[in-house]
Amino acid sequence: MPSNNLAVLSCAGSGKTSEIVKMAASTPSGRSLLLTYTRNNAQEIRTRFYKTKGFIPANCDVITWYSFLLSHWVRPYQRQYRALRIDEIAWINGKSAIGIPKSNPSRYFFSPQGRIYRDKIAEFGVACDAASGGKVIKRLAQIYSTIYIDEFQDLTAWDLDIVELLLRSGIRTVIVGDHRQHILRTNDGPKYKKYRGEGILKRIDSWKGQGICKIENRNDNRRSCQTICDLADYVFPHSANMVSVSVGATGHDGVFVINSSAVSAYYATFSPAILRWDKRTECHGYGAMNFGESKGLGFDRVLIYPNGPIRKFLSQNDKGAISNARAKLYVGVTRARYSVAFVLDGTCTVPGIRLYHLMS
Amino acid sequence: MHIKRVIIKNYRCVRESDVNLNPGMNIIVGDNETGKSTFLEAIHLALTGQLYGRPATYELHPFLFNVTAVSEYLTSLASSEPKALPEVLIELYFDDDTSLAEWRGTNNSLGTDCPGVSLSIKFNEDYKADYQRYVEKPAEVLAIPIEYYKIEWFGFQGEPIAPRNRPLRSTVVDASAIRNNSLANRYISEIIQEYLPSPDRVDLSLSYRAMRSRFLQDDRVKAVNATLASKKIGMSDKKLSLSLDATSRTSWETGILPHLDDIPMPLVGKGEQNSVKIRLAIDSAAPTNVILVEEPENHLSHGNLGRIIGAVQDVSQNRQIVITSHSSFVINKLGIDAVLLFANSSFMRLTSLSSDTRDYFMKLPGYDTLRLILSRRCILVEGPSDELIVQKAYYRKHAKMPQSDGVDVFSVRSLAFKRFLEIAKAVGTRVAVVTDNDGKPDRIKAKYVDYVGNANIQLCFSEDASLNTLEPHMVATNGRAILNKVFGTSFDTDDKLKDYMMDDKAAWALKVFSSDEPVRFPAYINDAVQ
Repeated sequence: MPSNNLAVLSCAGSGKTSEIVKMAASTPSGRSLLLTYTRNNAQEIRTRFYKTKGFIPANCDVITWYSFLLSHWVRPYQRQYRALRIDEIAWINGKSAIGIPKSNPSRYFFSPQGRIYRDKIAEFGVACDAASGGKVIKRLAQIYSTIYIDEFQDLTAWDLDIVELLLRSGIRTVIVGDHRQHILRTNDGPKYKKYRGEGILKRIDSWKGQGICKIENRNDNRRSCQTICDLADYVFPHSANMVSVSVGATGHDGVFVINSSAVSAYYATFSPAILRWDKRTECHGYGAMNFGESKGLGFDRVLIYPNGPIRKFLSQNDKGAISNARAKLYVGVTRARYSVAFVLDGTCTVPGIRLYHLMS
Repeated sequence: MHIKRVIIKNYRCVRESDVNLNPGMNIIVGDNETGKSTFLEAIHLALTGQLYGRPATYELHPFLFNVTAVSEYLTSLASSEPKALPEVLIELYFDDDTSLAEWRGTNNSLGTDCPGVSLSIKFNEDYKADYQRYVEKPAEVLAIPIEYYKIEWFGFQGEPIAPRNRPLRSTVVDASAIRNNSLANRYISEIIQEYLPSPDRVDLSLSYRAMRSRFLQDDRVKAVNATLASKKIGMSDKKLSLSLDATSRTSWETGILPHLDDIPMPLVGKGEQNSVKIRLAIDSAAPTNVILVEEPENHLSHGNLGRIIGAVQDVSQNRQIVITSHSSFVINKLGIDAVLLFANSSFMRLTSLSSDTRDYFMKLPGYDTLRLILSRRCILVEGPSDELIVQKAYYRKHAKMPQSDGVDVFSVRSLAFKRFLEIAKAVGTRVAVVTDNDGKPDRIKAKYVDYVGNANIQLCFSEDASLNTLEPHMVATNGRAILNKVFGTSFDTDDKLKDYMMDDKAAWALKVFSSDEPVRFPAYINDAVQ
């Protein structure tokens, strides 16, 4: 029997959040759970519900990934490891409880205050399910008939095992995401490092091979014009190319570089949204947004203040320079509908990018 | 969806109890102070988080805690091993219904995987420092410091319960808890709110508000307000006017009064009120899963009670009912096999009863089954003469009446004996059956063969086939002379004496009962009063 589960590999601007919201909203029977890593994105899912239906249907629950783990994977069957209720997650960065072996679960998984370590929570959930003979999954299957996971590319380490358990659970599981937009990670743990970023496609392919999910591709970009799509594809040469769909023309369309001296005039003419690598990037006093924060948003025009590696890429056409930056660059570029401009003093050698001259 | 099991610890008069419930009907019986009402209250508290209609946090008081637990705690403070503050725990275990799966988990005292809720009233550790000061001088600690307590209300999955999202809905029907009119109104309004479908509730609320604004538009009201506005009130420059109270959050409940045949509900008789409330609760369109009924027989006439019981019975087909009662009529009607007997913090079920016996009492609900259930020991006799003689024999033997020893003597038609014995067997009541042999002792033996050898059941009858009833036995045991003296008669043959006794059984027995003569009793009667 072909699997009911679905992995939707979506490019930027293909409307993946809208798609799962529509799928969930049009399911009249059964209860649906919509999951995503960040609170912002969970809020975005709720907003989409209000936009499409005017309300969040009573049979749809929207929660973040960590709430999901705590409420459904940890607490219901935690007693086999810990009698006292696990109130909170210990939000530590990096590896927790270094040197404590797994054979000491009360110290391996829990902080001295009884909180569960952020990097161990999914592992604990998998352990709870195994130790209870699959009760965690059985309970979820009794509650939900469909689970949607948005931004699957954010899931790492043990979280991938959670996804796999869901795919095998009998609950219809739909995951959507874009491997190119891997700029956040649910978990920094070393497990499944090879499945980070573009690597997640290997994992999804193997799930398909095992018959636990089908794959669909969405390469239609309804947000950005073709030149912008082309630049984004240039950065990810191994992925299918995007096709710009129904994006109009304005007279200033495509990808440009401008000299820093021309920024104020450019800004006055086009009022672009200003994006940057992070707050350390100098932006001449303009109110700018980090690439990471801009994820999921759309603007008519974008002006990018590049950091060192991106500048090197632009001036020398050196893709090696951005091997660790291309996900954010991809996100930043694909925010724009009509035009992207990089602030760069000097020549740009990347094909398809023109120098912008102010008409005077 | 129903409650399968209830575990209560340290709540009011319940020190510790663990009760299994039926999916449909449950009738709680027991002496006073055995925790019947507490049981209902605890279920409602754990399902709603409310006590007396308000969030339980605002209603905490020291007397919610079991007295024994509190006194053990207080005594321990001065000892070498002080105890921690006592905690209240109420756990409701639900049946394995997939619609309750969200509430499923093992966070309960049994560690069982099932849906359920748990409410505990426990020490709030934020007050550690305050508590330390509180117990510094144990001699001055006279009560538990309720101010340092908190309520924890979780599903078995480990998530807190939001009042809007409760697993099971419960309705309480308890007329005695309604002490005054405003409470009665609120109570009825609450039931009406549950009863009315949501659009109707909204309509009611909207038209109430519309009426309020029409009031202000009324010319006379405008005139009054104009007059008021022209008056200077005290030193204030502000304008005074009258309006209807719009401050209450859900306005109409306070301004609308339910009427029955145009009479305001609080002015209708208690019985009628009770019956309306029960009907409303039962018919409620809202998906109430559990109906808790406190002593429905209160204030109701026999006829009304019959109708209400019929309605309760109908609804128990698809909802869970937990009902307390002191009425044999109620328990017989609802099915005596659904009885849960509370005694000494434990409970007992009568599920071993045959459906035959259950149906028998449903059809003949007048039998005083509850009296048998609640007595520790009882002597069943066939009629009033036997009842009087047995009591007299008991008095002679023990120098006090059987009732003062908790021994109940009551007469039942002999046909019902075996039915009563079945209940006695199920409950474990010690019973002596005193019966005539009707000239055929072998038939009596055969009739009760199932109960021979049961340590709690004693069969008392005469083996002498020639003495078929109590009267010839009394004559044979005492002789004519002494009985003539007791009766104030002068019969010259035993047969005439027997005829006199058979003519008016109660009259001769009453004479023996009131006599100081040293009347002796047949051996089988003496056996029964041992």
